[in-house]
Amino acid sequence: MNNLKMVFAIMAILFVGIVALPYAVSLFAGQHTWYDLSGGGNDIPCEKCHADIAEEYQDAFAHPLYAPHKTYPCSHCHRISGFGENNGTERTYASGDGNGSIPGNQTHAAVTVQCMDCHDMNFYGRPLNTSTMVHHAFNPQYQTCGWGGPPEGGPRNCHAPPRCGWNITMIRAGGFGLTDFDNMSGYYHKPGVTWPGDTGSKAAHRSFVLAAIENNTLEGANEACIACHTHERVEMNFNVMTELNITVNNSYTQSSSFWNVTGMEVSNYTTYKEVKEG
Amino acid sequence: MNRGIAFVFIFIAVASILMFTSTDVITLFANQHAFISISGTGNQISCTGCHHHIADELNHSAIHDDLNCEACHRFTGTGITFASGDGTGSTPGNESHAAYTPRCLDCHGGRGVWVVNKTGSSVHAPPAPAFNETGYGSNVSAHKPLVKQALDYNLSVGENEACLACHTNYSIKFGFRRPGYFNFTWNKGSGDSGSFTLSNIGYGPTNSTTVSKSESGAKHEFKAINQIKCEDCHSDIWHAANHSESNGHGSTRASHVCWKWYKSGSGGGGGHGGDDPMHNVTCVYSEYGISNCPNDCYDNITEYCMLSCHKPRINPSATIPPVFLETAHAAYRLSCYHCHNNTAYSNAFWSIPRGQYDTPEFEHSGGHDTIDDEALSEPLFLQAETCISCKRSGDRWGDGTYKAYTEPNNTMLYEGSPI
Repeated sequence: MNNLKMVFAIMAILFVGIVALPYAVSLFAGQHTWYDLSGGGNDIPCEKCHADIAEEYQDAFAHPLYAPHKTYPCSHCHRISGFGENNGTERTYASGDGNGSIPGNQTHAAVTVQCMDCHDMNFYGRPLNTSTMVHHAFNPQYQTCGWGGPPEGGPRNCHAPPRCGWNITMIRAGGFGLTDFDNMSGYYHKPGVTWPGDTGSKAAHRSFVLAAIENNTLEGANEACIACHTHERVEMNFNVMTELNITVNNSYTQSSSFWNVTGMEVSNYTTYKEVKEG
Repeated sequence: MNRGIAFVFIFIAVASILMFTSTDVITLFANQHAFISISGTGNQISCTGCHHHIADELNHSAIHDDLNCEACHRFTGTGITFASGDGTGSTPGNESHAAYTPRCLDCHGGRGVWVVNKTGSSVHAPPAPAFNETGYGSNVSAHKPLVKQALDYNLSVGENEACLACHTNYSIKFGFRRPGYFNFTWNKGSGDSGSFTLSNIGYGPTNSTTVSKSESGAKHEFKAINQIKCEDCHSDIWHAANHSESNGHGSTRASHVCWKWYKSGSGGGGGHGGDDPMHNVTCVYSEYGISNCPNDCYDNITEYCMLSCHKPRINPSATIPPVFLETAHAAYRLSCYHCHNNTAYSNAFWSIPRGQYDTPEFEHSGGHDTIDDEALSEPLFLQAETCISCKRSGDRWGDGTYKAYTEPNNTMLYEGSPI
């Protein structure tokens, strides 16, 4: 009886082998289904790999006042061009697949942007007298998205009404003293649109921003920007002094005496953790 | 064998999971693309998201707990432009982006300012008298050196260390340095009208006294005015003054202040109550459960310090010593002679124990003769010591050598013997 079971089992395995063996199973299905790059713009769905980020965006649509950037396609930030240092030629992406196509220079598909690429006080894009008009503001994509701001619905777009054209004054983040006053010409500043008041002399968070710039965890000052302006979870360890030591001296001459503070220093530091939940 | 089979199955399971999940890209920091809307009016970014600890301190604060963070840290009264808005009329910010560390005097300087509290009401931040003036006011304001030096030390913004020292639960450790004692000799010329001279003045080596105002250390736990205690920072002085025990010469062993002397009763002290002057330290004893309290008239030690000497209640219709025409913040820096050297001031200040305006004068005549002129030519701290030592010795009218130790030591010697 046991032998009969064994015979049936061998027959079943052989049958499966005969039927299945002619098929070669690829390790990763779909790897030969190529995207068509011949269209305009970006034809590769960023969301395929970055579904979690796309989900963050989708969640925001449920908010009555859509948070900033939510209406932008990924490419608005991560394939931005005509902007920043070196007359806006710092970033050349791969694009096209026919005449005029570019393989890409500093990057192929996308860049990790610094928040301050768009929001700082220095880079205005190419000068107005440029003949090529490659600044991203001239890209139709940047002039159509956005709803014009709440409460009508949605955030304002950088270059859509009520903003327009080159105008980025409304999205600048100042008050950190990061303006490069030594480079006040060309693409650094549009004449008359500089921001000489950007001293940051009283900014409580300036050291945070400067430390973020020095830290390489994220690009530029992004750690600081993201900590405050997003729902990112943040843990902070504050080391604060709780005591002041004061030395007071009763000084005197032959005819007068007076109290004088001759020493003052902080001490007795204590550390506590703050957690900003996402 | 079973263990080997189990290991194979686990390996296959882990490998399968890795194969299925290895194509997913995980973002390093979740929610970094979930931006906070800043389109509305006011500040939409929660300060307390990162600063719970400070918010908690403020919630336990006697004052300022009605203010939100922005009232102080986005105060625009000093001309700071913060980042605000995101449309027409928006500004990137100049001197600061989100917030600044304010000087206390930003709101409490000048004539004070009006700020909006949590409920939307305008509330007045009162000025800090004397310190709201250019140069922090008069030199008779006892704490002016502290405020002035706080600015110079630049440990925090402006003069804040000085403000925090008294007005918050910030801990303070003082090191008071004084001459350890004073030596001096009184001589009287021959005859009843002989002049007094003060000689052989010497100062002992510097003595350092540590006083700790030990609190929670919280700089955002602000105190109400009636929670500020003089003795927290000046316990050395209170220690010297708080001696009600008799010294056998008609006085007590108290120093720093003279509140009892041998000319007692209504006839003594020029009819001003030698046993019961306004400086009587036992007038606060009942507050601390001590029964030796002839006249329970001060609510606490601070009120005693202030109303009996360093900020007395002034008679608005009397001639008052010039020093009190100046503005002091918490306390005046005084010696006995600021009040007791002119008959014109005899009703300048309110004596709480006596329930009337009453300030005994030390006339430059009679028994005192030139003794006051001699004392007044000496440094301020010695002026008081000459008065107190003389009273403690039994009013010997000058002759003799004294040694007066300084706070917190209350020891005084006359011709080498304790008095």
